[in-house]
Amino acid sequence: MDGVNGVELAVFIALFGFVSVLGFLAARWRRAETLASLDQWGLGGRRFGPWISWFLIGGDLYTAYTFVAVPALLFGAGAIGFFAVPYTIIVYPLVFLAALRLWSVSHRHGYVTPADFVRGRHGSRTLALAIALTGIVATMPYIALQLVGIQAVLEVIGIKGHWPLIIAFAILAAYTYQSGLRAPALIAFVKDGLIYVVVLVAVIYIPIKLHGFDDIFAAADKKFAASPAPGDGTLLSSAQYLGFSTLALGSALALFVYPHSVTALLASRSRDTIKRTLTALPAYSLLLGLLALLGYMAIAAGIKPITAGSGKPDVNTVVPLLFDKMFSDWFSGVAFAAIAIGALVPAAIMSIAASNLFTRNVYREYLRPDATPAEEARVSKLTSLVVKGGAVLVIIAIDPQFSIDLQLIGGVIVLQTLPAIVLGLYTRWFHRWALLAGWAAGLVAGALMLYDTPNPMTGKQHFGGAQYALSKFGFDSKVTIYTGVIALTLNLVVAVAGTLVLRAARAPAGADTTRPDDYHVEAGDAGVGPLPVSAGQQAPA
Amino acid sequence: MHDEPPNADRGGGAVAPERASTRVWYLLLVVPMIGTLIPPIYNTKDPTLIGIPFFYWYLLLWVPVTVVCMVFISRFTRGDR
Repeated sequence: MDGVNGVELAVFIALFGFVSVLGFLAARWRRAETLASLDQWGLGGRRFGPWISWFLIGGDLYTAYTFVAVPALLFGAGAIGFFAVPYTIIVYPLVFLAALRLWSVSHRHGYVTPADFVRGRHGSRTLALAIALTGIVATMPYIALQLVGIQAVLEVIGIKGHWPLIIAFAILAAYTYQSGLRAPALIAFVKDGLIYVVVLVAVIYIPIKLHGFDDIFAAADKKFAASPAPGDGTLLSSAQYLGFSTLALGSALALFVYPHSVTALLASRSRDTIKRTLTALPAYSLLLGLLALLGYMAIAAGIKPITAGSGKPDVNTVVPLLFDKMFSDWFSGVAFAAIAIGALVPAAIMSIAASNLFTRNVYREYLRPDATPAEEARVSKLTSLVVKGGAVLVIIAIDPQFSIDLQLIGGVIVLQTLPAIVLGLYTRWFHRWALLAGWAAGLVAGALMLYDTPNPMTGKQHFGGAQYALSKFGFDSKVTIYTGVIALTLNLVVAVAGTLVLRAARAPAGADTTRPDDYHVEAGDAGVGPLPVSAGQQAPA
Repeated sequence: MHDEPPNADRGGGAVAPERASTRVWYLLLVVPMIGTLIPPIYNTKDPTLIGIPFFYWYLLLWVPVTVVCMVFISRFTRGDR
């Protein structure tokens, strides 16, 4: 890359500036008397209808990193990268019922975070703390990864150095601080609109320029045939079947328990809103699937990833490079802005979710039990600044590869909160200490397995991927399984065994402050007004 | 606000028959998982669609199918809690 592309940069800055203004104005959107409570700042007033929810959740779950990394995975490894499509298809039927129950019980009791629910359901503040900290630890590197998406775009435009990243995140931090969840909700309209336009243009225009999909797949086949890596190709090898399925299933299960997904769900107005939103959300999966194919188009177009400062090629630059090569300058600018703005929406929601977890389940639970709603909002706002500052520091001070490794771990460990949250939505059978033991077992096992996974292609000894080889357990097989699913299985086994033991020993089960009908209430029912009672006043029902 | 008794008509025996009949629709939630999580049934190149191998367009086809499944569930379980 020689110098900066002026047209691309101008379009990019114009669009980026536009959404920044939107972000600040969002504080006045559907104005509440005051933003000084978590229901307002952290959940946008809990009043979003189907349209806003659709944009918000779509903008939240399909992150810039996804849009950059999934095609990059197909570019590098082939068919296995397409796991993103079954993953983002099955997640909706999978969470459909659980999401409705979580919404109802959370509105009845004023829960803001998944850990709030765990606290109320299982009567254990230690378990709630474990769930909250896991959520925060898993979310932090995910926020940092959004920066990787922006960085890839900036590299292609030709901007060197870290200052643009710092400015972009400072602006993001400022308007999130001011407007809370309303900011990403409003920006999501622009983000998703831009992404839809860019992807539709890309998947129609680029294949025509590359003489059709026959040539594109032929080029990909040729590349994978020449590469020494086992298991790459435009179809799966039979040894990859189980890894592909478990990765899709495990990722789908993890997505629902990520704090930022729960935050976006709880911001919905009603159960009916969630039903409609989840029904329409797979539309984004179609988009993601088409976008994934850009990885092969990049192969056919002869794209070579930019070699970053570390001397290794940065595969995340292939999609921006493809746009740069195929599109006119001004449309490349639009496409780059779409990716960068796509990073802002999830980064904002994730930082809000992590802040709410800290405020509700650490600060109020352990430090200031009598915190007022206004104080909660203040703490959350300040925490969101710290969280984003931390993310920038991690990317700049430490190798971005570090946050990619951390995010890999994040996905595996957040999955370990699933039994306490999702099974808790259905049954009180599990004992709180057994759930805690299962969580710990899954966490340790998951981390150890990830540490024990080398990647021969990149020469990495540890954290080489989230596929664990069955041969490590002594099986004579090339089959691999998604590490998170193995850890979750262990987690469940420990939770069940522990519950049996603790029940036999008559260990105290903890008070359940929820009632069976709490899981079915709809907006407008008794105790579930359009706005819930403010946090802190929730009485045990 | 939390003092009100729970809605009397909920969770009681009166709505049970209606629930049982609508619950069958929830089985549709399993269909997309069966369709997409068993790679051996779709891991082939042919038939291709405008040059795209079966593996890819088959999985993409499950997006609209899933939407249809979920529309049915939403429609036929409306009011069911």
